[in-house]
Amino acid sequence: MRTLTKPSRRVVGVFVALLAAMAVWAARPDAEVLAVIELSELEVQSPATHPADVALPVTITGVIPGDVVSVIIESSYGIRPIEVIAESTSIQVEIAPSDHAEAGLVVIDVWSPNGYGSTTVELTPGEAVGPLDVYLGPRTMFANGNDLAMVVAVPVDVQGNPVATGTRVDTRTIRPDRSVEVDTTTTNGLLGYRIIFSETLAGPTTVSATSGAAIGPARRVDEVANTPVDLDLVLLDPVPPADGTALVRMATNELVDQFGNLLPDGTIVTLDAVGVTGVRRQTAATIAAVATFVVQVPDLPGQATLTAYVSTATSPPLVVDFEPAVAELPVRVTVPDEVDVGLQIEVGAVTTPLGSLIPDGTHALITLQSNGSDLRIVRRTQLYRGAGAITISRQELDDFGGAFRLTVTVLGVQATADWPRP
Amino acid sequence: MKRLDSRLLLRGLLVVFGLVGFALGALVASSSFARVTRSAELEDVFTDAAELPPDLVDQVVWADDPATLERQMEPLTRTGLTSAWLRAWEQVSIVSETGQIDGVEVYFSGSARESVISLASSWGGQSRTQLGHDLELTFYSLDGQIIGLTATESRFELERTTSSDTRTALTRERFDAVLVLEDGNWRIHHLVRRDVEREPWVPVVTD
Repeated sequence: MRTLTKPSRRVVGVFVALLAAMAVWAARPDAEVLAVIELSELEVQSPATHPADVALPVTITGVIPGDVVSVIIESSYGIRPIEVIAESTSIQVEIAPSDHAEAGLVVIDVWSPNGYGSTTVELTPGEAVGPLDVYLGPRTMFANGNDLAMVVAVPVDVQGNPVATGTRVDTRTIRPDRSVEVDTTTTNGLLGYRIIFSETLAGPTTVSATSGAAIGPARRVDEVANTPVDLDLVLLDPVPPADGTALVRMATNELVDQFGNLLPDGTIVTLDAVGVTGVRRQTAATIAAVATFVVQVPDLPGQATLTAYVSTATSPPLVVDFEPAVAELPVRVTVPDEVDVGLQIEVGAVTTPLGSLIPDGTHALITLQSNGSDLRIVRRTQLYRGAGAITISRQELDDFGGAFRLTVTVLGVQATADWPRP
Repeated sequence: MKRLDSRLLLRGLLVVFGLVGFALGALVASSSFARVTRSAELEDVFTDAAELPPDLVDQVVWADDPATLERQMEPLTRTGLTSAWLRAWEQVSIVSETGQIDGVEVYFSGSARESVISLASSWGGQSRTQLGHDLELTFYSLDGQIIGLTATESRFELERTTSSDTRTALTRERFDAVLVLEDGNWRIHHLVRRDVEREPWVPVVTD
């Protein structure tokens, strides 16, 4: 049998050692399958109830001197661990208030290397401290003597714990008429609340709450007017003629509810206008309990019916008669000298009933209806300084047959003429 | 001849050593690369959001609302409240397992948020996983901003891992809670445990 040299034996030895180490590593037991440690029972004693802001004494019996003992304080939100070294079989641990700040039922688990014990302590909250957590809502209620709001107070102690059930909460309500109401409630389910019924005078109602020495910020709820009574609509300006551009103002009456309260600013009033040009709807917000509308007059004469709405209130219909905007509509037809122009139709100057020219840009609709057929020529022109003109080419006129009825319409007013003139 | 055999054996062993070393090096390198990749792509980019296990929603049972409520709870509000309650406890679970507090302010407010955050680093080795809740509405403010509820039974699995073993325990607990609507989210504002019924800690053994 051959023998290895000394260096070779060293290398082989290292290799074998490495393989052995790898084998040991591969065969290592998993952490999860370590032998289960049977725990002895530790006796843990503490008061059944204890103030949350006072150091909590815990007595642990059954530990082995020298062992590291873990005391885990489990509150509603998490855990706080403390480690102590047992100096005897029975030790006492003082848990500082900062280590058990949360009130409620606290579980104290005690672990030693081979022992476990547990107990529970009801940590009681302290007195309420300010500022008191106060909520008020809704922030508006109808001043109808029947609506309501709610003030909610969540008193907490100096460590932020909700105070004990049954803690007194006082509320003070100052009404718009300066009367003061004082009421008392108690906390239940971590909070205290009181219903505040509205009265019949609109205005701000201030609500504040206190609990012991804790004072909360005052909150306000606005008591506002309910549905208006006697909703009406009136014209503020003379009705202009139906020129399609003029504006006419109209407003509601002063809107008050059944108790005489003015409706708050910003109350939306809806106006529906139904007339010969169709239906229009617009809204306005009240200022000083009055909603004002600016309505563009129609471009056709006739009646329009206007109705206002607020909540469930409806105004009686306001009927407005829009007069024609055209008082004079002269039309002149001429035959120019130009070869290719058959006819020139001139409109104007068109005037309003007040004697002024109609607004620039007003459309004039010019229709030529053939006398002998269904042929029709329709032209539209915008009037400038009350006048406008169109031309009809000779070729168009020849195709048309030569005889026709001319109709010019401006803002619903028509002028007619026959051609050739009778 | 003997000398030649020894040299050949020596060279052979060196080759084996080289291969083993290369394999170990490649293993370490790939492991490091995988960790770097995971760190960049998952743990950093995607934060630990409180994912709501769909099955868990079925584990929430609401008792009939008391007739004394000043306002009846809307179905959509109850759905949102259920979700908020579950997500809050899921967040506690995340905090207990990872110590991360990124999402705490989404589900807790006021002193409750401060408490969860202040205790986030203390969980070491112990975690809490929700299993289900029996809830009862006790208060609903007129303006729909504040809710009081009692979790008549919230079930959790506790797990405690030490250097020597891992143990688990089931616990049934009763809480009173106040939730407030902030920024459209229901948040736990106060949470007070009223009762605990805990089963013994049992060791976790995996074969």
